[in-house]
Amino acid sequence: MGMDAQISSAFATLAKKSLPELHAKLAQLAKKPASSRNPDDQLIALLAAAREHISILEGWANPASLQGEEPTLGDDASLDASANLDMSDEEASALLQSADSTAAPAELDDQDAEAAAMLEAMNAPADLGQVAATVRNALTEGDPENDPDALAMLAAMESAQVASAAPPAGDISDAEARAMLAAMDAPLTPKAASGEMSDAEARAMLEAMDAPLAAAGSDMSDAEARAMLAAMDAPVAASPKLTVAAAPMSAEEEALALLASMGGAEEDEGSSAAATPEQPPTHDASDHDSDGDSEHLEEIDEFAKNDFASDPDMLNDFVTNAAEIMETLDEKVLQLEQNPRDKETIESIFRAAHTLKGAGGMFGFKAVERVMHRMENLFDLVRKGTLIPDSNLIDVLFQGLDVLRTLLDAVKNGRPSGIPTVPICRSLELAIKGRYVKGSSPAAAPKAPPPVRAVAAPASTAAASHDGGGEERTAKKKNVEQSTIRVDLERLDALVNLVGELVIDRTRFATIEEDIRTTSPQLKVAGNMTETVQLFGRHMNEIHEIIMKIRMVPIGNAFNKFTRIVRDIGRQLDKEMELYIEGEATELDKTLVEQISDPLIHLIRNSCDHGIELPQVREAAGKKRSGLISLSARQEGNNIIITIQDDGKGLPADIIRRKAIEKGLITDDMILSKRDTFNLIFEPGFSTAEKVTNISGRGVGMDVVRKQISKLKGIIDLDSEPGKGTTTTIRLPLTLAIMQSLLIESQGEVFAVPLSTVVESVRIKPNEVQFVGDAEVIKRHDKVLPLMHLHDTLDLGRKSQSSWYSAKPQTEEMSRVAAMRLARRKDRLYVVIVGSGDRRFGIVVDQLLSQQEMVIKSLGPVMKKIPSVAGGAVLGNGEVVLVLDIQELEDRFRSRARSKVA
Amino acid sequence: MSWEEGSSAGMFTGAKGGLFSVHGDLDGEKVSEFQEREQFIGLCIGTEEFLLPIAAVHEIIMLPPITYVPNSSEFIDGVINLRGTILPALNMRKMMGFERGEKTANARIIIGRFQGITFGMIVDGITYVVSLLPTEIEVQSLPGKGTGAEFIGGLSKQGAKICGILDLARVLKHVAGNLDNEDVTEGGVEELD
Repeated sequence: MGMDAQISSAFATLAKKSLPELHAKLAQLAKKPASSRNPDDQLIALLAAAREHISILEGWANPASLQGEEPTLGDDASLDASANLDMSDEEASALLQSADSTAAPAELDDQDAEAAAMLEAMNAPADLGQVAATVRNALTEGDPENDPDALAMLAAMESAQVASAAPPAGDISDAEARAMLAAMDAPLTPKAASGEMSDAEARAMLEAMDAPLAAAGSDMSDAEARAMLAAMDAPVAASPKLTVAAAPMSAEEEALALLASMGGAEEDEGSSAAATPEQPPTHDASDHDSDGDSEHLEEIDEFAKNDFASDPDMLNDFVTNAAEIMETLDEKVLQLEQNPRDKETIESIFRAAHTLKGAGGMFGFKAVERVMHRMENLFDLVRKGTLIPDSNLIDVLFQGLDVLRTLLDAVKNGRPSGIPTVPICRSLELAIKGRYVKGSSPAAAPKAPPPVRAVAAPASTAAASHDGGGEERTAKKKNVEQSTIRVDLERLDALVNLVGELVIDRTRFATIEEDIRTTSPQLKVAGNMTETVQLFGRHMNEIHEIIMKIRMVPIGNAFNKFTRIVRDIGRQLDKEMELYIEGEATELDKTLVEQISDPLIHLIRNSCDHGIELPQVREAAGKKRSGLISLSARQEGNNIIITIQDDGKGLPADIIRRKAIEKGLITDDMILSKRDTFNLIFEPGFSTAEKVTNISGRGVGMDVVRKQISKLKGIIDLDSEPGKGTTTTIRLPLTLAIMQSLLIESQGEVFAVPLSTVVESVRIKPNEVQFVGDAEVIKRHDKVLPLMHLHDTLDLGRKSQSSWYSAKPQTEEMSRVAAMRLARRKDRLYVVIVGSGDRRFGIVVDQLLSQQEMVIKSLGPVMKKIPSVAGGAVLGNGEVVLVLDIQELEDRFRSRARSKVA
Repeated sequence: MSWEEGSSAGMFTGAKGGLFSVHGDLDGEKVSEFQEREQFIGLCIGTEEFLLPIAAVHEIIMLPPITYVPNSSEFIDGVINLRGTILPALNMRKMMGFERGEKTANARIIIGRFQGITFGMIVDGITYVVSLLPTEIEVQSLPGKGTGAEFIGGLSKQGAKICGILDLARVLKHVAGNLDNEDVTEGGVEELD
């Protein structure tokens, strides 16, 4: 019994790999004499012999492994056996198919003749010795040019013979097998596309081969042998059977390795091949319109050197275009899932896919072209209505898109990613036949598919809610596309900066004009000046507006991928959730859209992962099975408000509080508002605590999220209702290039506060300020706000000692104005209320000066780390004003307050 | 820090960047003697005169309005606007250990550029440009700390007068180093509150 298994496994190996290789080489040999249109008779005979060899072996191997019968020679018997047995049927046809398809790429001119010869040869019984002899004869008489190839082949042939003789003796060693493979591998010429094989793959095969052989050395049951054979020959078909095998041991792993190295399209190739064994060479082409031959899918170089690819400009264009196309594909495929029969969607998908394939091919990115080609085939079938996309198909498509994205990233980075393309190609080809491989793609998790399918509704609102509006918008989009021009972002940035300077200049002109007007109103030139400056100002405003609009892109660009993320997480976690997107047309500065994406992903993931409960839990809690996450963006003045809202389980305030006390972020006796408690998760250090506990997982990296938002001059706020869900609000300025600021003054120093952080500015009576212990607070709109004195927090009192030259010359008039103002304000305090949500506080300042547009600049390398200062800006009068970082200011304020308490 | 790698001492001792001075007439006979000289700018800080390698000087401007930056290094007086670029202005008086004095009409800001960093130095006045032969420069660090001697990279001994030559590498390192320490002292200040 054990012997049988050994024999069969050895034979299977031989029949499966070695001989098709041999066959390929022979086919190649036959092709070589290019001068003669008709292949040498001798070589055709050789080919046929090799084929026969294969069929004998396979006939031999299968019955031996499956039933322990006498090896059956001859084609008919083999086919009979195949008919009876499921396994061998597949296997046999797979092998037949493999042999045939090896021949196909050889592109012999006289294909029919060859096929006929082959069929003939198949019917003629022959044995190994005969084949070897034929080969030897053929080679000795053959072209001397082919010598190295021929010799290697001869060697391979002979070792094959030895190997085939060896199994009965129960002694096929690893070394032999390896030598065989090596012999076959070595003479491969790059010309032979079919015989091409990378080193890595060869190694993987060898490894895969060694293990079962070694295993076969020990006593083994038939079942085991079968399992192994199955694993080796048809991993796809075998995977369910594998689980039945008594000893799974390493076989399963081996099977996976094999799958990776050689792929497992045998199953379908086999079944179709079994039906049409008479026309093997044309079979593949007729079966589906893939010109690639799945059996011989091997890893190819991702890049081929080519003139286009070496032109950086062209390459850049390709990368940009590809990224756009990928975005479109992602979006449209999601739409397709919602609307499988939507003609327009599939048409646009098809177009995009075709464009990318063509471009990839032109640049020589073979891997991209290859994967895309198979996806295009799928899309084509969908377009023709032969294939109706279901969630399985969409999964495969997304896997394909993921692989493509990796490949395109590799293109962008200029070095190959090394990602295998064979598994995905295979999955895609299988999908054409309506079969799906689980776990064969690197993108798919190897675990079992979730029993409950998540219904992630892409709220590409257009498709989902109101169709009419959607179409209208797509139509509009198209028009825009036609009349756009691609501009280098660097140039645009330079322009924006320049316009920023001009805005400052305008302010200066206005100041000069005001001076002239007030000091010498009688001058005629003053009137002209006033007029000119006003005109200049108006034009400047227009330019500013336009230039800002140029940089604006709809935030939907960043939102689109979230639908995909929610869908994927849903499928992974067996959760049902919908993402509802609103306000995707809201426009935002391009850099902001790019940089807001990461924090948003984090927040959305949190909502999916920790916010939304499992469907059962939700039902038990009396909620809808499917959770709702809504992502919305809207413009409010010069700000963009982005909210992420889920109807999940909410945040556990008590646990957060406990953790914060443990971490020393707050003290035991501190009383915090609910929101303040929630916002504790943004504290650095809180996140590390979160990782070890599992209260809800929120807080992992939340400090990073807040940092990123505040880097964008934005503010984040979080609120939650236990059992009802969590809402995160992000407030961002429309643009970073030019920002609206409120100029304030404290102890003679002027500072700018980004208007995006300002809630309101108020003038209060000193007696409205109440003291709670050390802290000053005011009540405003029914809310208690802590007050901070700017000069106190910033230590402005130290100015006179640390700065000797900065005292500004006080002209008489200025001091008069100051005195007047002072007298007028008397017992009034100016308070600028900043922050967002409940996390607001008031900054007490001496004066509110004005509101201005300014360009924030860095203070240079010598002073890059000044606490509470975000940067500087040049005012109209040429003076520098510091722009406050409200977030840092607040942190400083609170930590000072805390250290005071301590 | 980048300026630690190379001391600016090379600037006034090395052969590079110096000017050739011509002795004798250009037409021919005595043109044999070429000596490399390096040019320096003379500046007043407090009551003393110092030299600064001219190669490190980008431009010299009148004192513009200076904006105080809270919590910055004590040697940074504030920031100035140089045609749209914001630059720190170093208080050289304080650095060299002088008392606070009146802001004179001669006060200038020297815009220096060293190892890619542009910054301003507030000085009390500019005197003249001198050319020094390598033999007239003595590379020597002076003893003493906190009195400004640590920023002197060499001495000029041309004629009877000895002048300190400022070493920008040390000046910048001190300011940046102070900046780094600032965070530490911040904590200390807070505790004192």
